[in-house]
Amino acid sequence: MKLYKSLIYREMKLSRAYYGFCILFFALLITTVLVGLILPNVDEGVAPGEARLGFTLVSLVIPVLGALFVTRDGGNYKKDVNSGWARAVAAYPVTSKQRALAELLMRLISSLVFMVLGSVVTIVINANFGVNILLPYVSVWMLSGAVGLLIDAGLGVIVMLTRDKKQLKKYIVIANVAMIALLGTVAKYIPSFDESIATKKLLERIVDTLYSGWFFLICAAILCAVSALFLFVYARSYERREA
Amino acid sequence: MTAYQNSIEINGVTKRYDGFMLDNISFQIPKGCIMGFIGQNGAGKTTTIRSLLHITNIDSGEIKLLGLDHVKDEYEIKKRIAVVFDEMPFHDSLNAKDMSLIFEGMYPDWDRNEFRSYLQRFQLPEKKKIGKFSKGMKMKLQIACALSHNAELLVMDEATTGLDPVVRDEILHIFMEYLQNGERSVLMSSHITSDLEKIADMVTFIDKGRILLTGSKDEIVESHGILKCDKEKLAELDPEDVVSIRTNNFGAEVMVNDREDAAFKYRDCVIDPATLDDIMLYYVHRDAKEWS
Amino acid sequence: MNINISNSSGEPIYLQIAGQIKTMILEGKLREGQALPSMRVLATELRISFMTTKRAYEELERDGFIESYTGKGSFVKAQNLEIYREEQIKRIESLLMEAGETARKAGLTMDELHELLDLVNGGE
Repeated sequence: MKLYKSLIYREMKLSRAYYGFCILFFALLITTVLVGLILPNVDEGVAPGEARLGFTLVSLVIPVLGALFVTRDGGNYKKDVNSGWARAVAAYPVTSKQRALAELLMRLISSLVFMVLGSVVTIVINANFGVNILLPYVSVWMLSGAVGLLIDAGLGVIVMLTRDKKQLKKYIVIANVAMIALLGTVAKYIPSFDESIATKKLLERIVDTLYSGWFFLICAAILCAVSALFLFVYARSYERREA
Repeated sequence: MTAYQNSIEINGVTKRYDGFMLDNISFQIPKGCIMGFIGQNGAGKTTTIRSLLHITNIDSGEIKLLGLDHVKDEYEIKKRIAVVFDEMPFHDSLNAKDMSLIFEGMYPDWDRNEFRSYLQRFQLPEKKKIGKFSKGMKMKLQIACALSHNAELLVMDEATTGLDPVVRDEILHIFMEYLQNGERSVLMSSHITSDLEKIADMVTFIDKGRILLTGSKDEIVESHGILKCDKEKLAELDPEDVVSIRTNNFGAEVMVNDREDAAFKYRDCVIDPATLDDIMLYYVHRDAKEWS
Repeated sequence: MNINISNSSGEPIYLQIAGQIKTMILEGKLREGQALPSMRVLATELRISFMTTKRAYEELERDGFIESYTGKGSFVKAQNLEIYREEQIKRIESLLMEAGETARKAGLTMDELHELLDLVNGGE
């Protein structure tokens, strides 16, 4: 519908700088992975089992980080508040649900675009090593995108619950610290790339899961659920009337 | 398309918040009129407008825009009205063309050519970033947007404040042209009464959350006057006729609310015509009967 | 058609407009059946409220100088100049009577009053 075209156009134009940064970051990420992974191994060749394990786990950093950034707000919330749009839009014929949907659509669309761009890695790996990592790539992309949306939905809840700026700033800082702490603890549990048989067995099981069809479906379902939550939270926060 | 008589109908609206209150506000704007909404800063103009647009909730009362309920038919209404704010609600990095693309999706009657012709008339560049516009240009741009989708009602909150007289005159003239077909109305809130002095058809005066006067501007202005007399004469004046009295070292100036009547009753005094500014001034001081 | 309004003359604007249009009709500058500018166009041009022009037109219609038709506009009505002349003569009579009274009180003779009349009106 024309309305969504207009709303998304606006968001996109405001996000130009952010997406520019995302492209650079993404390009860097892909280059690092390709250079770090592929090139050293092209000449030597790798044992088939090793290839699957290694390439999958390492190249998954692309969807993990890529989706996370692309689905998140690139400073538009602040821009909208500062420019007065957040207030003024209440006077225009746009409902809160429409705004929320436009917001979600924009993020999903850009996410899709980046995902397609990033899939060049899967092509390279497949061409050189016969390993097709497309399935886990898409699955993880969806999962990571869901996480990104979830984070912003969480921030949206915080915004709704706080009434003044100071409280808001405090809570956002707390949220960010909590997130970093969470990532830190998770990172601790990521097995280091040692050669022990037990770890290898674990990694094999993880990778098998990543390649499975039901994992793909679960990620898709999670993405749908989080999208619905995102819509709900954002529509509610836009619906708020001033005192 | 409903047929309606009044573009805006406000009845018995009350709203309380933060130590301030809109107290039983009522007024109407017939189709085809420019209404000046005057009052001091903090008198309740912005709150009233926010209530109209359902940006904020009211505690009691009824508001109808274009004959439709302002809450139930909010969306429908907003497609047919235009709102102009005192600050441009678009980010500095956008330009006029972007605004056209954005509004195009929101308003079914958006007319690209109309918009372009207003841009030309206002001499506004299409591709320049809004951040580089002067305040006057920003306002003209907002107005160009407001006039480009056949809106039946324009609501403006202090939109001309801070603009130089040349720009204000241009803008006011454009509004009058826009209203030529008699089917559109304008609600302008302003504390610059001189703008409204000439072109407003109707005036509503709000003070401390209450509507003091509302009706035809000509009638309101013509029915008031400033009577000049000595301080000794003040005792002879009927308090019913008096709005308030301004004294100085050499005499007193009294605002009377029925000039014709006062001219008859107090025949030997000079009674000057009053301006909207005077009326606002004297009414604001109505509680302190005598002031200086 | 020329209309000039004064903001400082104290006379309500709608009366100024009505008066000027009246004069133009009587002087023949506006012909019978001629269309007047619409109330809104006039208001926009003069930069005043259209309710003011509306009032002016209503005044003119009441005095029989114009006819307004919704949707079509306002048009000049045929004037019976004789009746107008007689009305004006009556008015002049009462004004002269007043002048005479005032002259008598001030001790002026009728001849002095005549001289005054000629002097003031530029001896046409």
